[in-house]
Amino acid sequence: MILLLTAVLSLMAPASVIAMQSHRFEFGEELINANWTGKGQLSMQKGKDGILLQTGNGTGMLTTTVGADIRPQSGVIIAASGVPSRFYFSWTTLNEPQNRSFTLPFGLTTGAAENQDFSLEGNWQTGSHEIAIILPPHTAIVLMNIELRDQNIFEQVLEPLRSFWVFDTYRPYSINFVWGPQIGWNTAERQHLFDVVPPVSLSGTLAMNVMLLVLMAAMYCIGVWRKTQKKQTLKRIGILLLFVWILFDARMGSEFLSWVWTDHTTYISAEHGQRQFRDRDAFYDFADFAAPFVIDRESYVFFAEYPWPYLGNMRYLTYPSIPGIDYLNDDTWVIYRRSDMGVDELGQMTVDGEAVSPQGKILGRFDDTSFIFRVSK
Amino acid sequence: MSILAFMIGVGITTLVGWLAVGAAQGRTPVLSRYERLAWGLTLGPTLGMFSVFLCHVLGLTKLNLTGFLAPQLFLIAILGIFGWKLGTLNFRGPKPYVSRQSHPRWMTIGIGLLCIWTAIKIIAGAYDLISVPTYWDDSFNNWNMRGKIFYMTEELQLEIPGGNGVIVTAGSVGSYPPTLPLMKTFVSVLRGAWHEPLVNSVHLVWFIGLLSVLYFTLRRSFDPLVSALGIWAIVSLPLILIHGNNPYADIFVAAHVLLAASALLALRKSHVSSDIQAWTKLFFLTLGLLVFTKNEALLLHVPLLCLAAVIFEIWHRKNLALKDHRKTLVTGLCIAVAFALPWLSFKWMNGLTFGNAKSVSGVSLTFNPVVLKAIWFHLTHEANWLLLPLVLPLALIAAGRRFWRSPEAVLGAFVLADIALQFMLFIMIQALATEAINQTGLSRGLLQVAPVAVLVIFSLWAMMTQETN
Repeated sequence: MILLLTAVLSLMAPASVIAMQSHRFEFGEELINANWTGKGQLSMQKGKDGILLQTGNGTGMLTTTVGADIRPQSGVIIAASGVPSRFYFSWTTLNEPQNRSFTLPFGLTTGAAENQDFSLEGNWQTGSHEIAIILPPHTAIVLMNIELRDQNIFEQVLEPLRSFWVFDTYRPYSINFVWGPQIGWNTAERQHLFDVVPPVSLSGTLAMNVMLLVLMAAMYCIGVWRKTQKKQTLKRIGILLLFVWILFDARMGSEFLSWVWTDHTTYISAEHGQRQFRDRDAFYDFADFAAPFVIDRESYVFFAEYPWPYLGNMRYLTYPSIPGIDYLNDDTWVIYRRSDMGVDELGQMTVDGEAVSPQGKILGRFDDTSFIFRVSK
Repeated sequence: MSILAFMIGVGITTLVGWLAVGAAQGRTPVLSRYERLAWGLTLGPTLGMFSVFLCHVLGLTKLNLTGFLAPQLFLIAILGIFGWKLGTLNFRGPKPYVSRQSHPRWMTIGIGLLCIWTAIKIIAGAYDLISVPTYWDDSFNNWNMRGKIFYMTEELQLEIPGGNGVIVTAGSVGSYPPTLPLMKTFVSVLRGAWHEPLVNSVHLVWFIGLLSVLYFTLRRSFDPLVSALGIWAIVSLPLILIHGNNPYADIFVAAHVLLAASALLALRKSHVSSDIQAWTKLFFLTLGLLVFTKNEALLLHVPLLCLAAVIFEIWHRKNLALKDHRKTLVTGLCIAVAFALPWLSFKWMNGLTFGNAKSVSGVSLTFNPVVLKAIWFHLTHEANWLLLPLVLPLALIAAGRRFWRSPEAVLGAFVLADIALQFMLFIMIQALATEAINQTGLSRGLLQVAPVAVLVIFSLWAMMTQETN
């Protein structure tokens, strides 16, 4: 119904309203299409794919001005860095005296070009703006392009509807509560609905509750005004509630099925040794790998990247062998994802390069940072 | 092998439950043959494990094959003889249900599609449950861990070794009734190994039991199609679906609460003396076993169910001559006490705490208004219960006094009082307030009464539909 209404309205609207407006700022050689100014301790060097921005001991900033005709709801920055780096995107309204600034942080980790989506929803005022890329001291990134997306009316209606069907994943909190649908107003917001906990978007559950209350009040008032039988009004309200309940169930049931499907593809049907399970990744394959080495021990030393949930889970999986940190008495060390732990050339277990055990040997290695070590008798 | 162990284990406990329910009904059965089976399926594991627990703590048995089979087979023999003498061993029963009615074609197709959708969700969830490792905190630190310890040591251990000489004390998870872990141990003993899919699959028994009991309770007021809609409604609640297909204990408790509520409703609607007697005994049987499910049952649900029974059944029912049913009441109370007393004595003798993982003794009472915000968020911003938090109060308001004069009022009063008491405890007790704010424990109690809330909504719907017709 809403989609049909949107389609009809779209046909009636002028072409400029329906058209998608995307404002791309290119930084590749021969492609730069705006006047950018460097401020602070920023050095710039043009390259084939983008502009290399570097800072020394101070902060650097690359800025330009965008006109009042641009009113984006979201955007994307494509950039790369050889080492993990942080940078910021900021925008400031230029309508004195109430200039307002907003800043978003971004991180680059992979070394390859990374798309950094962001939402401007509610924070981009009318009027001209100054936009800027800000680099902290001692940072180097290659900036490839910035795109500001001004969604057309069709997309503005479609995005919240699409976001209703974006699912969360099976997480440790799912046994206690589920967020349910979240309403994102643009593509970027929709793509990151469950990235932060609690979600910052509008709760779809709340929106539905409020809409239902308004609709039910309206139906009741119309019933009174038209002198419809109360029973008839209640029946109509009941049908409305049933319809929304079914819709809501379709959303939540689909989310549950998506979790099962993910479990199926990433764990149940995956090759042993390649299995990834929810937020525990390869832990259960590791536990299978480690269990035979501790089966004949009453207790063993266990170190993981975090104590929770691995310690309790390991205790259950290897019981009656109990994991702990009694490294003075236990001879078997089970190490899971500890990049700071290893074995030196003398055969001693090390933490941050410092020997912490008598000599021994690695009985089995699961991956670069997970292995089983046993102290020699 | 696991399937065989599951079938034998669940078969034995179901037979125990089926016979016990038959014995409680007496010569005038009130449950249909399938309903009795659903009751047996749900209550059987609790009763069977209760007998195992009793023999073990009396020093008669270990938690091995003999220790599990002997008490249950003894129980089967005793109840079998009792049933044979009473004539309750046949697989027959009354058909106290609303007959099939004609519905518009679109409604039949619509509900049919919803049932298929529901079946897909349950099958998918069951597949996940038996295929993935034990993932949840409470499962590997409590329910499954304790079951595994019982299996390995063949003893009811109250303390869990934490490593480095550290012991998780008996007052912690050891204070929970051992029913659920014992059931896991039982099927493992039958299989001869601790097998993850097998020990997790037992949770399906309570989920199926819950759905069956809800269906048959609804069948007393609705035809099959509308009753099937009740199954869809309860499975549509996301937390019910998630808990139904995960190794947690709250569906297990919810199934028992629903049984007690169902018995209470039927008792409230009964006018024949023999029916009153049968439902009274079934109610007290469920109530006694409810104590042996999880700690909050003892502190929350049992007192409120008793209160509801007293207010609505004894005080509210004007035509009940108390003296006519004195014997039934005393018998019922004896049944409940017979189950509750051994476990409570055991707790007291071993210094086990009373309370849901947090001891109620020595708690400091405070007022935590921020809990109200957490509750509000839980009910209105999250999709845990779909539209239930909106529909239930609105339906109660719309139905008005008519509902409170109907037999179903007993369920409405119980659900509202139970939820109100839960919220009050979260607001007033500091340790629980943290659980509510973090939303780690807020949903559990609500989950346990959600099936009864669905029953209430269907009753309200029926009331309005009847008015419309």
